[in-house]
Formats: sequence, structure tokens, C-alpha cells
Amino acid sequence: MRLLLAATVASTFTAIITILYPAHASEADASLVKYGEYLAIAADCSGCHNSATKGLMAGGLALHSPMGDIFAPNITPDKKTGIGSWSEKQFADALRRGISPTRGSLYPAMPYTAYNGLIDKDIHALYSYFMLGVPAIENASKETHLPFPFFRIALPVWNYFYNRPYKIKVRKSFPQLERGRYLVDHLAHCSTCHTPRNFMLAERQDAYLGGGKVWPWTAPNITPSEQGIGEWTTKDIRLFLTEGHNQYAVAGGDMGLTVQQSLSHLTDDDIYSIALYLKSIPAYTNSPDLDKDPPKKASLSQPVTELQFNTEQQLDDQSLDGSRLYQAACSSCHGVYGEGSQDGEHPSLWTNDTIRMKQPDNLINIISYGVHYRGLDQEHAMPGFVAKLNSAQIASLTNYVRNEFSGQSSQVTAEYVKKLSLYENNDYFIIKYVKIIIILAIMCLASLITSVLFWIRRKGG
Amino acid sequence: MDNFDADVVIVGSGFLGTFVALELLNAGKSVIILEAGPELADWKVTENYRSSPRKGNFNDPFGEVPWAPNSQTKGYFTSDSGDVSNLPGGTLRIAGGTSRHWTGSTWRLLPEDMKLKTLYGVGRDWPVTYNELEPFVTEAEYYIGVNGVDSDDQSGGPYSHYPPRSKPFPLPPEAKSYMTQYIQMQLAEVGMKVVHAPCTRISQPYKGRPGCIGNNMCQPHCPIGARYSGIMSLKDATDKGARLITHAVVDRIIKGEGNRIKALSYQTPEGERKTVTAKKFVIAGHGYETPKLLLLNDIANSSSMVGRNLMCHPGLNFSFLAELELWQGRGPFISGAILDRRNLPDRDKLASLHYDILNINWTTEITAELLKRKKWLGTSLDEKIRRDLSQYIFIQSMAEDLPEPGNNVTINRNWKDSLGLPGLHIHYRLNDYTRALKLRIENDYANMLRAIRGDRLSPPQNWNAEDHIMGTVIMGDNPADSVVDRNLRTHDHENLFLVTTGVFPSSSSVNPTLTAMALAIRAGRLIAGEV
Repeated sequence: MRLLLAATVASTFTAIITILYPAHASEADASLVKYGEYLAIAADCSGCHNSATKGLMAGGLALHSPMGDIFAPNITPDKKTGIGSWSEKQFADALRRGISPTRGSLYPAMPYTAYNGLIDKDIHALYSYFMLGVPAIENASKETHLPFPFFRIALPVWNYFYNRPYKIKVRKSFPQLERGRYLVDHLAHCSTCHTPRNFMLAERQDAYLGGGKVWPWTAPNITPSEQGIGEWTTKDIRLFLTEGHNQYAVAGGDMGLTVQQSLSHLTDDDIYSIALYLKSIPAYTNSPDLDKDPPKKASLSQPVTELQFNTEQQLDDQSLDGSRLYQAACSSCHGVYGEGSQDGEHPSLWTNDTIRMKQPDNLINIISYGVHYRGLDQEHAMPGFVAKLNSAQIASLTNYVRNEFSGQSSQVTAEYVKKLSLYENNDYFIIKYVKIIIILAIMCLASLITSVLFWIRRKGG
Repeated sequence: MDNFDADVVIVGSGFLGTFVALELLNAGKSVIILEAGPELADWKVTENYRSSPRKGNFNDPFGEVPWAPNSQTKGYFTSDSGDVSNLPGGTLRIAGGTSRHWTGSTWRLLPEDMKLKTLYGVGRDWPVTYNELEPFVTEAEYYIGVNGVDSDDQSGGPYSHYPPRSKPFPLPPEAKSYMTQYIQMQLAEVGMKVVHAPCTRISQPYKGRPGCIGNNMCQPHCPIGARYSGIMSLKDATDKGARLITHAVVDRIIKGEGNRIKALSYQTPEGERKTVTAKKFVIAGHGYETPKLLLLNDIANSSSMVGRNLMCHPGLNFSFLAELELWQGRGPFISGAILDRRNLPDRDKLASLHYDILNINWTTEITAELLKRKKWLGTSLDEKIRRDLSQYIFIQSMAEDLPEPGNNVTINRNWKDSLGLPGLHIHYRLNDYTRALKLRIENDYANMLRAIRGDRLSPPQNWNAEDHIMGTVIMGDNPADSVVDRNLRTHDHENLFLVTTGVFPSSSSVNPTLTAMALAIRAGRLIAGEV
């Protein structure tokens, strides 16, 4: 009896200690930090904040925005150059409201418009992970300096209008759907790339996940429509998110890295929730650019080019014959008939969404830069051809592949290929016309002031 | 101060020239690379190979130009080589060098290979030791990507992890084909060990290159770039600012004061002459082209060793039909090697030797052979080709030969290319040290035949030289009997370096490229420190 009492007292005492000094409750902390790490992976923080030379979350990666380079800061718990001195409240504000205690308003390259829906529990776990689980690294990352008028001071106005969560209605409220929505909308911030942006560079509420532009890539429509992933089963989606490829698509560009660093590490339950959710959101069909031709029936009648050679022909590598370029540069992996490999490692070109899409950009990018990422257990690579073929040859090859395997009449020019490779994107209204608008505004203001002055003088006179 | 066109001018745009260039560029130096041949895109080489009936000629898909003749140009080479066939072997003159059609084998030398004289009393020692060179070998392996098995004993002995490595192989070995597994199992019964042959036909993606998917045309040209080639290091060099001048046929080396080299002079295909000056000059031509340029100008030849000591890995090859269908030709070109004879105690009397188990699709050769025998037609011919191909086995041997001044390459003034430059003549006789291996090789082949239950097809007859040209500008400490010193600097000219497999003082019995890459990196770093 006495023993029992002693044990009770002791355990109560321990419990009190644990409550009073949570920092010493190392076991609870460890699992919290672990959970925070999982969330950080799901949110792909390292995708931008990792430094190849300095280490985990040490900052420095430049994001090439249409307005100029935006540098990802050091977010290790280093007190001087990182976020070591931030309180949890400040950390939450940075994530949800885009406000940093040191920098002021963050540029929306930081996806706070998605993180705004993160629940308190997850913020707490993330904060614990960043403070306890990430080693502090002293590295003063570069400051972002965008040209006028894209100063930080203008951001609160933008935030007032645009930092709002989506209001998407899902058909039935299974817990998986709610979890999927939380992951897609908030943690994994899919809409940051996959939702088109309006003239103010904000995501368009009416075109949720309907396909965006991450120059020079196009982030495809991922709603269950014909333009999107309507044909895909949840299994196709899961395969894509974990392995980086399925029978319809390959994760090119930054999507490859997203699979590598983030999605392939999520639990199967979470991946399934994302897949289920993406299948149940409203289908968006309003981006004619992203229309896809129906899959063409594979044909094996494509003749192999027969050629006779003399030395002069052998040394002429400037041909613009798409069929010859395809056979020589592509068929070794994708097959003489575009059938791909049996194990799916080298995609069949007949079912491929990238080739069937009306807009040729992603196909051009894949031919130019290749595909490079690590999936669950394997490295994947397609070499890029930008240094091996000239722009006119890449255009011919693109046209051949699209005509042959999707039946569209493709008219890509060498100039278009060149323009795409220059990473120049001035198509957004605000960037294209910002200077004119400002000049017009100053002229209007000037003439107004002049008239007022005239009026006063005349009145006075 | 004089004005120079560049800090360093390099002749030759193959592996070795570009490896030197990269070291210089990384140190912020300016580099001009002169290449006699043209540039040719990889896709075109694939097309040329596929549409050419001359599949066995590895030079064919690269074309040829009359101002940069190569080994397939009629009359450019003449040879007198006794019972050794295949000399001169295949040489290219094209951007990227002869490495455009190499197999991609990346063997390391053994420490013993570099101390032949000291340990066995034959041949010559290297003036550099294995330990000195090892870090650079590792660097080369990591730069190009090499598959290998760390635990193997590559001296053929009972040990593991030999020769010593400072870092593990960058990539794991490729999967073993059914044929390799079968041969490995059968040969184990007669006491022969089949080990993985290290190579740069990468087993998984590395630095943007895809892994090998078994197109099985490593030679002449990997269609997907899984096998490393000089065009890749050349692209690295030009991306970093090297100035590549193609169609620049260097034929004159101009001496200045104090035996220093002042300039190089080259001709364009039209015969227009141009001169380039630099602080240092590197000749990184082929093992034949480098001595040719020196002999034409009587440069670096106070020892009269330029063009001499030619070594070429002679070997006896053996092919037969296995009892089972083993389907050679799945995966990369060489699937395994037997190193049991590489470093035996009797190396003072019998040369070092290694066997490669080739893994090539021999359709063209077998069809030609069957047509000659005129026994089969139509479907019976198809059936016979299919059957023979599935059972065909080809073992290649590569033996060490010794540097003998009498084996040489000389200028042949009876032949002229489109610029009026002469051809080359090769004189080679197999020495007794290597020839004595014949019995051992035949004995081994008989054992292999028995173990694999083979049907004899073509017994080994002629000695066959490999395309590995060594010794022609030999390296050594003594200026009286060697051309370059331990740093590849010519004994005669302080600012002239020769970076080629021609500097090898001993040939060992394995492919020389990886070691030559290490020498190139080492020399490049030294030169970068001097200019």
C-alpha cells in the first residue's frame, strides 16, 4: 500500500515536472520534431530554402520571378542570420500572413497564400522542428531587391485582396477528402504553380488548379477534366506523385524535384488522400491552351528511314528532318515506333499528355533540358538536347513528335524555341504595362496639379 | 611582356586535351584547343552507324576529311607487323578524339604494373608511383562516372579491395546478364574467377546522363550517352570558356630562345596558314599523331626515342558456340573479365594477361561467315543465324608487351594528304616475352571450352593488337632514353608537354585510358600553377 502511494506520488511529480518544463520532455519533443519534419517535407520548404553548398535550409536559392530574382533566406535556427530568435507567433505570421519580423512583408514567392490555412497544431510542430530539428547554420543569404514599383511596402495592399483561402466545395466530406484538401491547398501548396494567375499575379479563384505557368514550364491543369487529369485513376496519380511517372506523364522541370524532395516521402495514406481529392474537385476546362488531343491509336507502320551515305552526307549534322532526328536521337529509348519501354521507365509517346497538349512548351522544355529526378528508389534521367541540337532542329523534332504521336498539326518555329529558352516572360499585364501605367498616372497627376494651379491663379487674379 | 594568344594552347580535343584544359580553366587560365578534324553531333553518328552496312568498322560513322586522315584513310598508314594483325587499330581525328568510339573500360593499373623493372627485371619502371597517381585516378573516376565492385581483387589474387582506392567506386556495377552468370558459374569449376569489368557505361543516371539500357553499341557510339565520351568533357571545357578551333591542322612547332617553344602553326583545309602563341603548349594527340608532329619538326627528340617503344596490347582471341543458348549481346559490350593471369609470380618470364568476356551482338559477322560457307539459304539461313547467335561466345585476351625501341612509328613521305602532309609507317614485332604466353592462353581456352561445354568454332590463330597505342613518346627520369619527365614535360623544351597514352613506360595488360586521364589531370594542375 505504502509502495503504491509512493509510486503514485512519484508519477504525479514527474507529470508536474513534465508540464512545467516541457523542454525536458524529450520523448514528446522527439515525436513532435519528427512530425514537424514530415510537415516540412510535405510543404517542401527545402525545395527553395536548401543551399547546395551551406546545407539544409541555409537559404540562398534564387527564384527567377518575372520581376527579378527573389532569394530564399536562411531559415535555420541561427540567431544572427536565420530565424533562431523568432517566437512561435512570429513564425506563424511568416507562414500564414507573409510577415517577417526582420524583413517586413514577404514576397509571395513564399507561398503564404497557401500556408494561410495551416492549423495551429501543425504550425507548432513545424516551429519545433525548425528550432530543434534543423542545425543552425550561419549564412547571410542574399537580400532580394526588386525594381520599383515591386517594393515590399506595396505588399499589404496586395495581401488585403489576395491572401485568402480557396473556398472549394468537395462533394462528400470523407475524412480522406478533407485531409487531401488540407495537403493540396495548404501544405503541398499545389495551386502556387498549378493555378493560373490574374493580372496582379495572384492566383485566380475561378480557375482553381486549372494550369499555371512557371516559366518556361507549364504546370498542367490537374482538375479532373479532359484538359486535366480526368483520364487518370487514383492509382495513376499515386504513381506519378511517388515515382514521378505514369502512362500519361513524366515529372519534368521543378515537378521532378518536388517528387524527389517532397511527394515521394509522404505516407501512402496522404498520397491516396491527395489523389482522391484531386479526383473530386470541380473540373476546369477553360484553358484552350491546355486542350489535349484524344489519344491516337498506336501505329507500327512508321517506316525506318533508309539512307545511303557518302562522307559529305555523314558529316552533315544540320538536318531539319524531324523523322531522322527522332530515329537517331530518341528512338534508342522511346522505341522506333514511339512505343516506349515495357517497364514504363521510358514513356510511350502515344498516350503522353505532354505531347497531346495544344501548347508545345513542356515538350520543347523536355527535349531541351531532359528530365532529372530521383523517385522512391531510383534515379531517373533523360538527357537534354539543348547543346546537341540547334533551335531549328528542336523545333522540327517537336513538330514531328506532335504530328506523329498525337495527330496535331504542330507549327513550332525555331524562334519560338529560342524565346522559350531565354527564360523571358513578360506576358503578365502588371509587368508588361507597369511602367506605362506609372507614367500615365504621373502625367495625369501632373496635369491635374497644373490645372488646379491655373484655376487658383486665375481665381486669385 | 609578350602578348600571347592564350595562356596555353592544346593540340587535340580528345579526353586528355580537354582534361588538361579543364584544370587550366578552373584555375582561371585562357585556353585554345586546336582540332584537326570536324565537329559532328552525336545524333548524326547514331544515324550513320545504323544506316551503314560497315558495322565492324568503328571509324565509319564518323566520316573522314582529306586534311585530317585517320586509320581508315587509304594509304595513310602502312604497317609491317609480322604475325600481329589489326595495326594501326582505329584512330579518329574529330572533336572529342578517338574516345568518341572507345569501349568505356576503366581499369586501374596495379602498383606492380608501374614497377615492372624493379619487381620482375623486365621492361621499365614508371617515374611516378601508384600512390602518387591514385588521387587523380579517383578524380577521373568521379568526373566521368565509373561502375565497379570495391571488394574485387583486380590483380587476380585471393585478396579483396585491390588495388587500393582512396574512395569507393562512384557507381554500383550493372546487373549481370544471364550469359555472364552462367559463364561465371561454369568457369568457377575450373578455378577461373570472372569479376566485374569497371567501366563508364554507367549503371544508373550520373550528372544528367542516363544509365545504360543495353543498346549494345558501346562501340562505336552509345546512342544515349550512357558511355562517357570526349565530346562531353570538350563541351564542359568550351562551356567554361575554352576556345575550340576545328579544322586546324597543326604541322609546325616554332622554337624560340633557349629551346623554348614560341608558337604553333596550323593550316586550314584550304591551306591558309595561321600561327598561335602561348606561354605553354600541350600536345594531346593520339599515340601516333603526337610523335608524328614531333618528328615532322625534329622537336623533343634529343633521345631519339620519339615514335619508338610502340606497345599495343597484343592478344589471342577465341570464339566458340556454347551448348546452351546464352544470348550474348544483352547489356553493355564487356560483361566480365578474368584477371587470374594478371600478376603472377612468374611475371619475370611470362607477360601479364587478362581476358574479357565480350558481350556483343555479332549478327553481321556471323551472317557473313555463314554466307561464305554457302550451306544455308532462306529460312534455314535465318534459323541458323538465330541459333548460332544465341550460342556464340567470344573471349578476348590482352597481353602486356614491352617497350622496345625497334617497334616504332615513322614518317612515310611516299604518301600525302590534301595539305601535302605525309603518312605514317608502323614497324612492330611481337617480343618473345609476350609470345611465350601462347601456351598459357591456349591452355586456358581449352579449359574454358570444357567448362562451358563449347563447340569449337575458330581457334586462336593470329595475335591481334588492340587500339591502345602506348610508349611512342615514353616517360622516364633519364633524358637520354625518354621523351618526357614524370610531369609529362618534354626533357628538351621547358614549356612543351605531351599528354597522351604515348607516354606510358609500360603497357600492363589493361586498357590505358583511365590512367592517362589521371596523368592529364595531374599535368593540367601543374601547368595551371606555372602560367
